[in-house]
Amino acid sequence: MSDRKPLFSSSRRQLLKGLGLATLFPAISACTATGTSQASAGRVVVIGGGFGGATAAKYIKRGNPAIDVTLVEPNKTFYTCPFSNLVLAGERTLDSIGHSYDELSQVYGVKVVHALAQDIDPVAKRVSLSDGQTLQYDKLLLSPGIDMRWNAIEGYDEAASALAPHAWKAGPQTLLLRQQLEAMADGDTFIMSVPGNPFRCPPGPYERASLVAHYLKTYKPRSKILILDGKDNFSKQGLFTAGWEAHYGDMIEWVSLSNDGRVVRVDANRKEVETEFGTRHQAAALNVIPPQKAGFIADRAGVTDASGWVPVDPVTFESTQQKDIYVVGDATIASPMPKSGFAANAQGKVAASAIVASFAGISPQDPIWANTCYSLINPDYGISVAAVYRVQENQIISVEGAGGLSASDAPDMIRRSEAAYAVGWYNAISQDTWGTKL
Amino acid sequence: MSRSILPHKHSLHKLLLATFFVGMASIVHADEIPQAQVSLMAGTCANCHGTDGQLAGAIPAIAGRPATVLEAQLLAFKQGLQPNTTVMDRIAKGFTDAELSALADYFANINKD
Amino acid sequence: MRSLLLLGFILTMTFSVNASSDWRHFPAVAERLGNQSPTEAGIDLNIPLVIDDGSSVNLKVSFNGSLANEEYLSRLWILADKNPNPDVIDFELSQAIPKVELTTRIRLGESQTVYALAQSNQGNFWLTSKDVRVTVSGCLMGNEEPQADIAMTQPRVALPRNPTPGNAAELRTMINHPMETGFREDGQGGYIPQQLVKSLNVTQAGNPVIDINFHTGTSANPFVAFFTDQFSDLTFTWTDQHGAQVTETR
Repeated sequence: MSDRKPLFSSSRRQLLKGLGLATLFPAISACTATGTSQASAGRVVVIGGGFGGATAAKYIKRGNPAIDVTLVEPNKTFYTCPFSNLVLAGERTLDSIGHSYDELSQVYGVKVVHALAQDIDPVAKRVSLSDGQTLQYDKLLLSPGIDMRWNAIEGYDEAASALAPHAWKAGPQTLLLRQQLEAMADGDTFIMSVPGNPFRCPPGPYERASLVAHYLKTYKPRSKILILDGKDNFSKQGLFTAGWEAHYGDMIEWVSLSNDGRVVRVDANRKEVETEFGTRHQAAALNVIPPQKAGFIADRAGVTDASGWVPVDPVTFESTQQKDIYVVGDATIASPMPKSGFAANAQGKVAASAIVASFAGISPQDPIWANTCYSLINPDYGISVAAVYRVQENQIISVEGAGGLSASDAPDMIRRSEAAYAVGWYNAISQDTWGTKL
Repeated sequence: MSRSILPHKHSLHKLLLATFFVGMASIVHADEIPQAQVSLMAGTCANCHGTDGQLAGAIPAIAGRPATVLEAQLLAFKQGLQPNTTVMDRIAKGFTDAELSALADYFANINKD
Repeated sequence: MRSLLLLGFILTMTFSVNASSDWRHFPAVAERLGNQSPTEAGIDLNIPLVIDDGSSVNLKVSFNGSLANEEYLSRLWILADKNPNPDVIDFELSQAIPKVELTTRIRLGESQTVYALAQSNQGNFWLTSKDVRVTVSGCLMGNEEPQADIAMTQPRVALPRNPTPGNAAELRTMINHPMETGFREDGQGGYIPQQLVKSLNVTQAGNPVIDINFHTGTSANPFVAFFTDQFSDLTFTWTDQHGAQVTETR
């Protein structure tokens, strides 16, 4: 491996801008994405325009522009959960975490339909939309995200979430919780209820506590944060705990499952919660992150199992229960890959590649993924956990000896770098997923 | 084009690649890993470095940099020889040297916008 | 569409229920059964099939099998075939239990099959199992800190809200204790000594209601929820392996 001559002549370099599979179709790739007059190489409907769906739509087009791709997403702007904790802390605007579908439609020629997918007929291969349209597909890709399990905690239903927001889907819920934080008086208590595994973004609740503490420390320094948890340990626990002590003293109190942390009842009107062994806590601002399941359209497609999540083939992310339906992102059972935007984006590319390969009659490649998950203790203090994943014996495994946590004794300079890289990551994944230039 | 250079599982795949690569005498290495797999693997890099590794910011762009430089840096990350590294050491350890070399080639051959 | 969904559901159910076939190779089950063959219908084991954190896995076992007159479930074992010690937790049930639905938290060292074996006072057996996969989710890596305190602390009992005698309702129990397995290395070539809570005994007006035996497969801070229809004159006694006891009354 000493010879370093270029793999491709310069005239071919443009081709490398596509997925590798695009290099298999030089004639097709040479067409501009929108100007192609080729017959359709297949019809793909993508449901859900988040990290998984938008990425998949883009990378299918990059892989083979002759594939007809329609993206179904009710919202014209997608607000990301990543960095929404900075919106809660008043460090960012909601607009700054909003993304449009302009690149997908204008650069890649994806048809974007702003409607809600209501039902799927996996036999007739049809999707029916809220606007009355019916879409026919050869391959369906679902990136349905999560739905809340309303009433899994007694008293916590959709109506209650208007009083005690979950803010676990970014947008109006984020602003609602921000208003509650702003309305707190100095010395008041902010309570978070955190579910057991699995749930969207394992370190998310603890980053939220950190950034809310950052806000309170500045504006309401006598206030308290109480985290009531359905677990006995959590992601990056040592790094979070040390960061909390260093920056926020005893402002944040974490109550584990074994110390009666699991919330079993919510009274949203009184902003009161009750735990497993009958302790009641009252909050000035109450954030209930309830147990979750795959977004409802996955149920309609018949791809969920008894757990409420979606089992998939780890090489292609095709459903193990319905042929020609691919599912990516938080809705899937892809552990040890976490339910994160990073993972959804990575899985979107793998499913896109598998779909392009399938239309071409080629076997899919074995995927290798890396994942880096940043959390902010404050806007200048970042920590991370990383992993590399492969498929072995038809299961996703985390490569031993790779990945792991930020060093527990890292100097402040490294924490500052990681905070800057967190922003760099957010900008990059937003560009890669939606084409947003930040 | 010998079998040992491009060990692909499927004949169609082989045929397509062979057709594509005809006349490109410079292919002599780094392709024990199928190109399609390299680009799939490279997709994960875009997560922090932008699509095709082109985005420059707090995290540097990697597209269009010399393959030797990229490979040396990736290997230094993997061996823990790069001071003040935050995360690339943890990631590089999950890839074989051949994979890192193939990724270096891949990004070196992308035009910088 | 609906029939296909139903088919998918049936397939899923079948897949997840029919895994009891390998018990003949699992001594912890085979030896208890002797030459009896168990019924596989009527007992249900509810446990996640993919587990992010093997140190605390929610498990619920329930029974609605058919019983003869005067027959009731008297024993129930939870067993894991690839844990270093297959015993997870077991229950001695009295006739005072109105409904067998037991919830606990268990430890699973790796991917394996978890069994629930039940026996009636007349010697009949029921068996079910689930194959579970244990992973460590990428974002879940915590820092493990060894617990120094090995005394039982904070015994907790939660009665149902608004309990009505005669109406079955769920009661929860927990005590804080690290449940040191004896399998953990101490970093100096030896092992951290085993320290376990051995049992929880519950009586009502002096009569046994349920006896629960904890093992190395029981999570730290043993938690058990069960159904009862009597909510007064209850005594809960936890005993550790050295014979120390903690008692709560309700």
